[in-house]
Amino acid sequence: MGFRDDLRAISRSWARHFNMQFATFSVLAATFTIVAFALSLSSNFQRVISLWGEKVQVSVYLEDDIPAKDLQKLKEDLGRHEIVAAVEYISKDRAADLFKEQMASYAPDLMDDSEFATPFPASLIAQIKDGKSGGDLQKIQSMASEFSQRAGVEDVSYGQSWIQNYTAFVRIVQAVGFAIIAVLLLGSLFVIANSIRTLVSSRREEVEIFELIGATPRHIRRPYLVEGVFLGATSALLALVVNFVFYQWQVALMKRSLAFARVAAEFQYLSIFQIVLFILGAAVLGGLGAWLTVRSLNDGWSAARGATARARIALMAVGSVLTVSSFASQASAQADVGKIVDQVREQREVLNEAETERRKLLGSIYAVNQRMKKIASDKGKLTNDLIHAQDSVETVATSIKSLESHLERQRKNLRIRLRALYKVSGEPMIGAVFSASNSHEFDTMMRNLKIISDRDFHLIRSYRLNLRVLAQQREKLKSQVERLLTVERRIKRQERLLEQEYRTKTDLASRIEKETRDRKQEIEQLRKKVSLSSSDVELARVLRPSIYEKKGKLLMPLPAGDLVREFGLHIDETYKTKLSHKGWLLRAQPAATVVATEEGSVVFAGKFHGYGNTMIVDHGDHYYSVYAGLSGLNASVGQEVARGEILGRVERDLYFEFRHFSEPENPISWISSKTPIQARMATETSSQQGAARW
Amino acid sequence: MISFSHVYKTYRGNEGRENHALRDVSLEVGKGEFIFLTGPSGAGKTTLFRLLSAFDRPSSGRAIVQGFDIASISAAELPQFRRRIGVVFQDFRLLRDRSIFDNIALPLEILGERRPMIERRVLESLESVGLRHKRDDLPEHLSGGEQQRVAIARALVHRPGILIADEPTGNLDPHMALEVMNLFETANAQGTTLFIATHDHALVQRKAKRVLNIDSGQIAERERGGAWVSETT
Repeated sequence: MGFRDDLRAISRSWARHFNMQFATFSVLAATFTIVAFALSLSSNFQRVISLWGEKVQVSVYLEDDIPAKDLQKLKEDLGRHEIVAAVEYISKDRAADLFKEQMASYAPDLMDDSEFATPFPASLIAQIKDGKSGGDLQKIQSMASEFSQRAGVEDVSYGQSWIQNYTAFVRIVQAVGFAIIAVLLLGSLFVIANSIRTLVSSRREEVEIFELIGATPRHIRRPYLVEGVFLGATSALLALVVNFVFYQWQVALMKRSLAFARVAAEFQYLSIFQIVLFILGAAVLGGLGAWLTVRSLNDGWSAARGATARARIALMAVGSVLTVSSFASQASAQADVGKIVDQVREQREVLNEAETERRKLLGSIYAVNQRMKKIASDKGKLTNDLIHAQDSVETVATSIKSLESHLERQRKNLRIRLRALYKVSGEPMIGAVFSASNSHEFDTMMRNLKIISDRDFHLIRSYRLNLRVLAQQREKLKSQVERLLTVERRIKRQERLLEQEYRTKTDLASRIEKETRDRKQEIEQLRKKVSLSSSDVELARVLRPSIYEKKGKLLMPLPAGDLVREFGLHIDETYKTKLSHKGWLLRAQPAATVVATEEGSVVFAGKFHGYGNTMIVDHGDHYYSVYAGLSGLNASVGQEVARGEILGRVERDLYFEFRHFSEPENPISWISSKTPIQARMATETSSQQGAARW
Repeated sequence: MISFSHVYKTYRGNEGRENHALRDVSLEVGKGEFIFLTGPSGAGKTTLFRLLSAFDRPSSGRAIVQGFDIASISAAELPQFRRRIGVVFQDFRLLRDRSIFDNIALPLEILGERRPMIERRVLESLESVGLRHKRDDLPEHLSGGEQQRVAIARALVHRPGILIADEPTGNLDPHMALEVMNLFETANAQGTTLFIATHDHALVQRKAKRVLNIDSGQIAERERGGAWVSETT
C-alpha cells in the first residue's frame, strides 16, 4: 500500500464524512492558531531577551567632585578597554534633563525646586561590543569591578539584574503558556482521536474484511494514522496562515501607532525551522490521536465481536464757633454810669458767654478724654493684636524654620534615593521604562517603577506636600506681618488725631481762660469808676460782683472739720463699685456753725429726704450752694444772706455742694485757698489716709 | 493440511445451557484434496468454516490448519495464516467504496506485491470470472452472481493453499456454476485444497469428490460422488 493509496483513502473519507471531517479540521485549526500565537509570542519574548543581552551597556557613575583630569583619563581608559565599543559622557545636567523629561508629568514641582539641585550623578556609558569579541558576562563583570575601584567612580552597573528579572518573568509566562498549550494539545488529541474513532466505526466492516483477508494490524491502522497526520498537518498549516495574517495585521497596527514602531520592528514571525517543526508536531499529534484510537482496533478477532475640592473724630468742629470775639466794647472811662452799667452788663454777658463756652469746652474735652480713653483702649487692643500677630509671626516663622530643616533633610534623602534609583535603573531599564512615548505606556512603566521604589515615591510625595505647606506658611507669615503693619499704622494715626484734638482743646481752654480774666479786670475797673459816686440800689445790685468774679474766694462752710469724702469718683475697693460724689462730706465738732460760703438768697430751707435739714442759697447766675445735714435752719426762703452768715449748726456731718443749674462743681475750685480751713487742709491732707483734716 | 481432532465449539445459551455447534469433530484432509461439505442449515456447517478460516477459535480440541493451531494461534500469526487461505463468504464481504479491481487487488496489496504484478494478476483473475469489463464498477452496481464471482476471484487471486467456499454457486445459473466449478478445479489442479459447502446435489454427484456430511455438529464421511446417496432420497 503506497502514498497514492493513502491519498485515495483520505479523499474517500472526506467524501464520505465531509461534515465530521470539516468540524474536526476547524477545531484543530482553531486550537493550533492559539498554540501558534502563543509560540510566536514566546519566541518574541525570547528575542527581546537576547536583544537586551546583545545591547549590554555598562554605566560608570561618577562622584560629584571628580576632577576633570581624572574624568578625562577614565574616559580614555574605558574607551581603550577590549570589550568597549564606544563611550558616552552623560553630565549631571543631562541626566537631570533626561529625568525631567521623563518625570515631567509625574513630579513637576520636584525638579523646579531650585534648591533641590540635581541629585543625579554624572556617568560614562560604555557600549559593549557585539558578539563573542565583547559581550560575555564574565568579561563585563571583571571590567565592571575593575572600574568600580578607580578614584572618582561611585559605582558601576550594567543592568544585569533587570535582564535576569525579565527573563524570570518571561519564563513564568512561558511556563503558564506552555501549560495552557499542553491542555489545548491534549484537547486536540482528543478531537483527533474522536474523529478517527468515528471513521473507524463507520468502517467496521472494512476492518473486518481486511482482517479476514489477512491484513496485518499495521496495514489496517495505517490509513487511520495517515488520516490523523493529515488532519494535524493541514489544520496546522491553516493555523499558521491565520496566525500570519493576524500577525501582519497586528504589526501593521502597531507600526501605525508610532509608540510601538520600535517594538514592532523587533517582532518577527516564526522562522522556517519553527514552522516546519510546528507542522511536524501537529502531524505527530494527529498521528498520535489516531493511533490512540486504532491501537486496539483489531486483534484479528473483530469478526468474532462488535466498539468567567472709623473713628472719625469729626472733631465735632468743637464749636470752633467760639467766636468769642464780639466783645469789641471799649470802656470809655469818662462815660456816665448808665453807660458804665451797660458796659458792665455787656461784659457780664460776654463773661457769661465765655463761661458757657468754657463749659461746653470742658464738655468737649470730656468727650475728647472719652475718646482718648477709647483710643487708649483700642490701642490696648491693637497692641494686644500686635502681640498676637507678632506671636503668630514667630510661630509661623518657627514652623517655617522647622519645615525648612525637615525639607532639607528630605531633600538630601530624596537626592540620595533618586540618585540610587537613577543608577539602579541603568541605561537599559531607563531606556526601556522612560522611552515611552505615549501616556498609557508611560503610566504602566511608572506603575512598575512605583512598585519597585514605592518608598521613593512616598518620599517625593511627602517632599512635595511639605514644600506646599512651606509655601502656605510663608504666605501666612506675609499676611500676618502685613496685618501687624496695618495695626501699627492705625494706632499711630489715632494717636496723632487725638493729640491734635487735645492740643486744639487745650488752646481753646487757655484762650477762654485769658478772656475770662480780661473781662473780670475790665468789670473791676468799671466798678471802681462808679462806686464812689453812686448809691442807687438797683445800680448797686447790678454792680455787685458776680459769682464768677469770686471764684476761688468763697468761704469754707465749716470753720473747722475733716473732709470725709471729696468730690469726684470713688471706687470702693471692697465692693468693686464706683460712686460719684457731687459734693463734699465734711465732719466737725457737733453743733459747729455752718456759714454761707458767699452772699445770696435762700431758695430752699427744709427737710430733704435722705439729707435731713437742707438749705440752698442762690448766688446768682444760676450758681447755688447746698448745705445739708443741719440741726436747725437759721434762715428762711427768700431771705438774703451775707457771706459768712450763720445758716445753722451741724447735726453730725455736713454735706456741701456747689452747683451751676443742676450740675455739681468741684468746690475746691471755688473755695478760697487762703481761708484757714483751706490752709489747714493743705497741710494735713497727707496725715491721714482717705480723709483730710483742717 | 487440515487436521481436527476432537474439536468442540460451544456457545452459552440464555439459561446457561450449553449449545454445542460442533461436537467431537475429528477430521483429516490432505493437500490438494477437493472436498464437498453438505448438511442441513444449522447443522454446524458455517461454524466449521469459521474455525477452518480462523475467524473463531474452537472451544476445545485441536484444530490444525496448514500447520497453524487455530486454538492457540497468536495475533501476529493470524494475518500470516489468513494470507494463505482464500475464503468465499456467503455474503461476499466486498468493500463497497472500492472498485471491483481494487477489491480483487486487496489480497495482493496485503501481501505487499508490486503494482505491475498486482495489475496483471487481477486482470487475469477478472478474465477468468468473465468480469474484465466491470473492473472499475463498484460492487453495488453488480448483480448477485457477478458479486459472487468477484468474491471468488478475490479468494483465489493470491493463490491460497486452501480455498474455503460457502455456497459459492448458490446464486449462479447452472452454466455459470459450471464455469466456477471449472475455476475451482483449475485451482485444485494447481495445488489448492478446496473445501466447498453446497446444497447442490447434482454438482456433488457429478464431480464425484470426497464428501463430508455434517449434522447436529457431528460430521460423517460419505462415499465419493456418485456412490453417495442423499439421506433425503
